[in-house]
Amino acid sequence: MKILIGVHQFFPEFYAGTERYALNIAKYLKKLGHSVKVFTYGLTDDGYSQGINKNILIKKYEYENIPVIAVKHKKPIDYTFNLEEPNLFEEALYFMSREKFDIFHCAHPYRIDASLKAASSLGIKTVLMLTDYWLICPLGIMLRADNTICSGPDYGRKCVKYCFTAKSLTDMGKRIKHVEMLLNCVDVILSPSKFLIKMFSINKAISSDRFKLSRHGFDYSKKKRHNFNKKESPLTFGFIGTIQYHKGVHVLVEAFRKIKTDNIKLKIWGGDFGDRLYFEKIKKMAAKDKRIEMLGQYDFNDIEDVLGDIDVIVVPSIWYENAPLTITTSHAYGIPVIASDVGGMAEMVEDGVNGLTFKVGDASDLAKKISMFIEDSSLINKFSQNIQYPIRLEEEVLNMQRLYEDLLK
Amino acid sequence: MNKNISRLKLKINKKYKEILEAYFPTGTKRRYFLALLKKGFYTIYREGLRGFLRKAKKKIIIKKKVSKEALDTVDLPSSIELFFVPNILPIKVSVIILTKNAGNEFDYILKKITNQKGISKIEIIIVDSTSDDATLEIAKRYTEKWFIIKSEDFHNSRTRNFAADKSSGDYLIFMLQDAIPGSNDLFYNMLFPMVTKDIHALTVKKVPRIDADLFSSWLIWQEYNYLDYSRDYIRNNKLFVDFSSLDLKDKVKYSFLDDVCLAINKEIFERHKFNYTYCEDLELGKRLIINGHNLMFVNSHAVVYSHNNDALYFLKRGCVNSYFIKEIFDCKMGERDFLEISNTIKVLIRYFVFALNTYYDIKSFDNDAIFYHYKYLNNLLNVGVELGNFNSNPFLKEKSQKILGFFSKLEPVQGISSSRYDIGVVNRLLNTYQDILNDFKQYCDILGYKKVDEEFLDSLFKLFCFSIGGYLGEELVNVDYFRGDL
Repeated sequence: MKILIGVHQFFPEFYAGTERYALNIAKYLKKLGHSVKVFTYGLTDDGYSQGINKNILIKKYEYENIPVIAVKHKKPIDYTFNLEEPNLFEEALYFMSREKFDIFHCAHPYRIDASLKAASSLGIKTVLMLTDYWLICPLGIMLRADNTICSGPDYGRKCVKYCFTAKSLTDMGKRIKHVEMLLNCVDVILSPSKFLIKMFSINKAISSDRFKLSRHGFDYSKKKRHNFNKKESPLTFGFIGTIQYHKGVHVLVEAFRKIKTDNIKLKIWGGDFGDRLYFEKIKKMAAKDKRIEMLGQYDFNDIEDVLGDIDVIVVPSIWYENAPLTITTSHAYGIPVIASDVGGMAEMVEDGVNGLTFKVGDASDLAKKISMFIEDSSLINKFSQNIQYPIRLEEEVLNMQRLYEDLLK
Repeated sequence: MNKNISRLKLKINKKYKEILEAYFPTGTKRRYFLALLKKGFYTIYREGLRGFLRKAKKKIIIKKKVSKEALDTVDLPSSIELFFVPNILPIKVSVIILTKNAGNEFDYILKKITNQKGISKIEIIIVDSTSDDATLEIAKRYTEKWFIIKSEDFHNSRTRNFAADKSSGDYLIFMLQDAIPGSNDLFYNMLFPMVTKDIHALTVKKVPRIDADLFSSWLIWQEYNYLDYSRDYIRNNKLFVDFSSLDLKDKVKYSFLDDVCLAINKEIFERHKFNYTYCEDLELGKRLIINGHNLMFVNSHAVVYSHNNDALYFLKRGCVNSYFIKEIFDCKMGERDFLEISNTIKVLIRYFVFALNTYYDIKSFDNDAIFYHYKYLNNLLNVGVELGNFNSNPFLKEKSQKILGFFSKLEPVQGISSSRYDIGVVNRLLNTYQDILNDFKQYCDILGYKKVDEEFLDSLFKLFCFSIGGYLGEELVNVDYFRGDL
């Protein structure tokens, strides 16, 4: 099969969870003997040449043996509201018609949504993976500009009221119409969590029966140890991820400081990811408590060393999350998680079964849950035994291969 | 005096409660807001205005989240599962795994087997060749049918037959200890044709692990490419008149079974059983098809299995496989003794490493550049150029020394006794290598692999050693030298 993977940004210019998802799928599909390319939106200015459309620049390169074509507008546009952008549509149409792909798998429609329309008009079967809420929330994560959690756009009314005050309801209406058109171009919509499906459904954006559930796979090739030899003391809690407000690290630090037991530790791993102010604030909060260690950025290749010291992982995010890699990783290693009781987190962590959940944003409730582990450390083993392994990356891609084959029948 | 103060306090308190109940009755909104107000003032008093605002904001956050009740109103149809099994097969399956230090994924694999959907009962049977890691401890969590044998008692056929004797299933699935089911409905999709279509034994496709190197991925691809197994394939003895008159490729194609993941009807297995030292699966397949049974290759589902072994392993594997395939299918056996040709092989490996230097300045290749080293090697050997001392890529030097060391151990006179070689052997071996290289190029083209990096050079080296192994298996009168560790 000739498969094109679309993603809104890609290595080496930018990479986070979605880009890694696109890369992993591309690499393994290649290993299975398929011809794979990546279509992305460029973020830097180096090495671009004129595209077929006069307003578009293109660059071809390879990343880890995957051929990549990056496109970008000569003059930046507002990607959030300019959906189905005609110049990008023309460029994508030209590229796709020359290469004759069988499948277009879009890992995120931001910036490159017009490529979905191009693929569909060429009769290419299209698969769209939704990794966040961008189609109903222009900010993507349903966390308002004032950092409060949002229950949905209410046909754009809430977006105009809380996040896009300069926009009108007409602008929002146009966006919603474009999204509807876009979804008509898609053959299969995938979601990594049931929560996301429900969220789109109750917001009347996509009916639940249009979705297929496709859990993210974990790369077990990096896993060299079956489990860790847990230390007797001190009991160590951990946070791994980026230190940003919506990740709720302040809730965790605050909760930890409410607990007066000496013989426990909190290890916080992660970089600021551009939010230096918040990072410094957390650092200041942590400095007041000797039991808390800020350990900075970590390399995912060293994850076993990072997790080796941790008994319980805490995921205190104050937004819905979707299918957080932190929980997947912890579960792959059998480490129980305390997570906020919303979104994809509550779906992965079953309170009292394989971990604990606490009221989102509530440091007192989190402190109570942490204390439960302190009072009864046998909970670690109990929850660990109830953890189901996340599916492996190979399985996820094999499922994709089956899906593509079904679409092409 | 104190008594009077206490009485007064009690009176005030009573009056306060009366007023409170009169104007803010318990259970009303008014009372709730009063309590909230009190709490607010208390927080301001204790934690200041900032603390109050922070807490108030958190309250708002919790209020604004989408309610659980709203989410519960959304019905998720069963069709949201990407693939689901439509029914449960009313059968019992015995999964047989022979183990020896099964590694850190063994728990994952057993859980994956236990969680297979669409089969009414699954039992696991483990026969362990005295592991010294946690294999047995993990196995005991999943089955009561575990057995220990001495390592030296292990036999590819006898041990599997022993495990089958202990089974109580209607169907048997033989798996290797590191073969990972590619989905939760793998067993269902394997056994459905056996239950409904009169298939007696089948093998499911292998796919490489995510960390499989270029050579290991190619090895799996070429096996199915050679056998033309690009789809599900059912075969039986109606496909031929006389099995013995088929060419070797067709014999292998029709008999192909692979105990990386092999399912068989128990009753039929009991009649035939495994009966061979190596390639026991293929030999069983031969007897089954000759005896009129229906065999199947399942391409639409997969088991994840590959190993990034070193070149020496693939040399041995190539040798033993080609030797036993010939023996199983009654082909003409080789007549040479290893010591007759060992020096030529060693010299050839030196020349090969020398020839790979053609890629020193090439960072990526296109078209036929993959053959540069082959053409160069061919010229060097046919013209008879003396090599003398040369600087080899340290990465290749290390790999070639390991092979040369292995060969030297097998001989009475160690080291390369002379630079002379048998041109007949050289030409036959180069022909074998060229065929394999053609196949490899085809795979690289499909992948779009064009980089000359360590992985590429390593793959070429393994390809060459694999060719040597294949050649030795065809030429030698016996392959006892190469059977260890396999």
